Amino acid sequence: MLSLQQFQLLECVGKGNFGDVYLAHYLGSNQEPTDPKIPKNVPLAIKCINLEHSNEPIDLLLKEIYFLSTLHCPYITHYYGTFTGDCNLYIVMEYCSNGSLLNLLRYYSRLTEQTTCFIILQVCHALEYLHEKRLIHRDLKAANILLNDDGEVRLADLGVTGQLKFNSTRHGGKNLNTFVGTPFWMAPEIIKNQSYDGKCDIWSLGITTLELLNGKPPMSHLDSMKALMRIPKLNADSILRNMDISPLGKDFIRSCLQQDPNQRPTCKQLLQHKWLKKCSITNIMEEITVMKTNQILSKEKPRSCKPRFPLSDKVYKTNLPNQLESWRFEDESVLRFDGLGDIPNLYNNSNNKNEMANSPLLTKQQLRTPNISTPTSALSPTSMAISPKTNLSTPATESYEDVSSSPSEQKMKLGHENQNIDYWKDVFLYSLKKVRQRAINEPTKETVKSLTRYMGDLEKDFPGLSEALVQEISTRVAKLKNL
Amino acid sequence: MAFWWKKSPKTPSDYVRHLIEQLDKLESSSIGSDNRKKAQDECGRHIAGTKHFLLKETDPVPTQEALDELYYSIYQSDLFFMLLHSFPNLDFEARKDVAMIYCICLGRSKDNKLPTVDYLLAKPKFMSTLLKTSETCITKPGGSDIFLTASGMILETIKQEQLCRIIIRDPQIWKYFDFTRLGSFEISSSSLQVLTELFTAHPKLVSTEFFCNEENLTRFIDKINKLMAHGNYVTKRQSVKLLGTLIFNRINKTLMTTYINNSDNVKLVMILLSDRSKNLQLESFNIFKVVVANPRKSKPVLDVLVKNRDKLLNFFEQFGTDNKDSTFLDEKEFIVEQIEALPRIVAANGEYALGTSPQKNLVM
Repeated sequence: MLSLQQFQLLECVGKGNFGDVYLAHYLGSNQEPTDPKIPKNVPLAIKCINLEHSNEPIDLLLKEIYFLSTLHCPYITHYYGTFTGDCNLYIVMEYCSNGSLLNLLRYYSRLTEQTTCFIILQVCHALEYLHEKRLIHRDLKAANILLNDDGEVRLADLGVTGQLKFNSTRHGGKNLNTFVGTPFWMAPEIIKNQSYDGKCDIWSLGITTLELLNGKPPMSHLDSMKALMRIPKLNADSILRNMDISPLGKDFIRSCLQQDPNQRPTCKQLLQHKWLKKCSITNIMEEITVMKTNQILSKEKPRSCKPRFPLSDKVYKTNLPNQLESWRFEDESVLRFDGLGDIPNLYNNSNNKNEMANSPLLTKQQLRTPNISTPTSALSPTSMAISPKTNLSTPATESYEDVSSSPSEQKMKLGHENQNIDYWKDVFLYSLKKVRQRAINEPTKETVKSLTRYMGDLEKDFPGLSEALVQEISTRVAKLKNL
Repeated sequence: MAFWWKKSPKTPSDYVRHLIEQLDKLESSSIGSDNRKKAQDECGRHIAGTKHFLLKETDPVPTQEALDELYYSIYQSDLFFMLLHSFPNLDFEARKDVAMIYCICLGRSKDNKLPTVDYLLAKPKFMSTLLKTSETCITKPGGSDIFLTASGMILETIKQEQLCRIIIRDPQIWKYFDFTRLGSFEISSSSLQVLTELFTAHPKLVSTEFFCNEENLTRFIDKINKLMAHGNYVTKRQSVKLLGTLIFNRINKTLMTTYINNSDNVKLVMILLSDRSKNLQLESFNIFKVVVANPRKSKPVLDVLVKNRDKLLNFFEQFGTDNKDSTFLDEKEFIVEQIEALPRIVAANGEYALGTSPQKNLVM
């Protein structure tokens, strides 16, 4: 499996819709036979998407990956593989060192008809490949067309690519209707919220051709909402009238920019168009070299930018636990050990230990059959006598003796705690626990438990309540016994 | 490749016959031989040709009778079985064309019937072959795209309720849980996508014919818990989301009650609730809120909640504070109220215990 360790990430070279793009090298260690073949010593582009901060649903991002990984086309950015790390998704792709066509437009302002023709021809090949797979790019524009080291065209950013359904004959097979794309390049049928098919890419191709020839798409002086309103009325002729290009070029653009998508040619037909057929240049390296040289001379900084989500911003930091809260999930069998069933920590641990040590029998008994509520029941059959009214077994002397089986300790305890008895914990709660142990069925247990709970609340609200009660009870019992 | 059809006018059934001949050649030739490469190319051409024919992209456009004849011979010859059998041996583009042919056929409707669906219903073995195809390629180089293409076919199949019924009965589906932790990212994420589709596309079917079986229920919970606990970030998020969707659907009441009444499940959900990832927190909250809102909590679950009452209250003070969604805020308020109403931990001296030193605390 691929992992971040196998790559050396260099500077951030761009920010896409969904994430930062880094220049990277494959270090190619630990390659398994199932790993994708990634060339070494070749610059790669790694698109890093921070899933924690991305509002895009993951499914949508995955869709782009699936599209990319099932496309093998020389005119579409090559995909190598994907891996995750921290909360990031890393998509490894071919690196296009010469950036997008916007880069070229920034330097030249507008491209010559021949250069444009050369580029559009390759874009047309890419679109033909996509359309053959019934995929629609939906966001064709100069910014999404990249140039690699050799000046070859690569169609990129399949982030909003859509898949046409295969069978639906509704609307003549036009079965997409999502409103996506970039306003100035958007086809009228998308704007009018009609169903559409691959012909919307043909429209965008026409707009992109104009963008390359003029430096910007038509109506770019308007704000995008206004442009959207005007596109359904766009007339190619009025735009082409003042342009100084060949009649063939004009015909190509005009055929793409027909309002009726059915009238627009398919990619296959466009590839037969004389304008593309007569494309006379075989590369645009010269233009690129001139641009690059001048950029170096003018000391223009190479395309390095600040990533939106620095890689060091990790969600799962190595020196911190992965959880914000450490919940208390003590093993319940251990909790049951103290004979308290499912109320844990009723007594502090030292008390428990004391008891365990003192009454091994009781402990064993309860471990084997945690449901037996009276620890003494097995010891003395007589103690099983049940008072029907209270549903409680009679107190068995053994159980009390357990506690006091170590008289010296008991004495010592009493001796120094005489002044400082915790009436709630050591007397009340203790007694309630004992009563609970004598409970022979669940409802009784529950009743004692809620009494305990209730008393706990009262004691919290009125500290000293149990002390007063205990004192009163013991005084009363002592008095009655003396009588 | 339309020209190819023009040059060799045949009856539609001939296309299938020629394709099958080439598939046989492909399978019988030795790996790496020229013959094999040639057969592979030939298969690719025939498959592409069949695709164009079905898409009516040939010139002249095929008549409805010709199309019907082609479909008929596809069924008659059990072409899909053979294509699946040779699936890993076909080339990249041919495999995708196979997937496309399959999808076109699946959607074919005639006289208000879906003939391909009916055909496949009569051949239930095809489903298990299809489900197994993915597995055979998982360890092969370039297995990712074979897996993805096969997954695409499975996803398309699941859309048909009757076929989905066959798939949920196939024990092979359990392996898709394991695939999400194997292999490349593409394999892991598309397996989870298959599972998500499988369990959500036809809620009634899944509820009445899958989750009604106690063994399935237990196994499903065990499997999805593993994904939620040990998957990568994407797997975790997607699996928690899937479970949340299923639990939240009233139709899956059995799944819901079984899940939220088991304290081990609740512990896992709480661990995810406090995960450092905010998205994971939110997805887990959708399950946790059902746990807390349940009026008849099981004893062990109640205990887990009671034990963590103060920690939970503490946690919820910081939870989703930047979330402005009113539904979420209402839910959170309700959950906090419910937790506050739980029996609380008090200190021996009558003060609130903050859970910092359990030795001194009493749980009530």
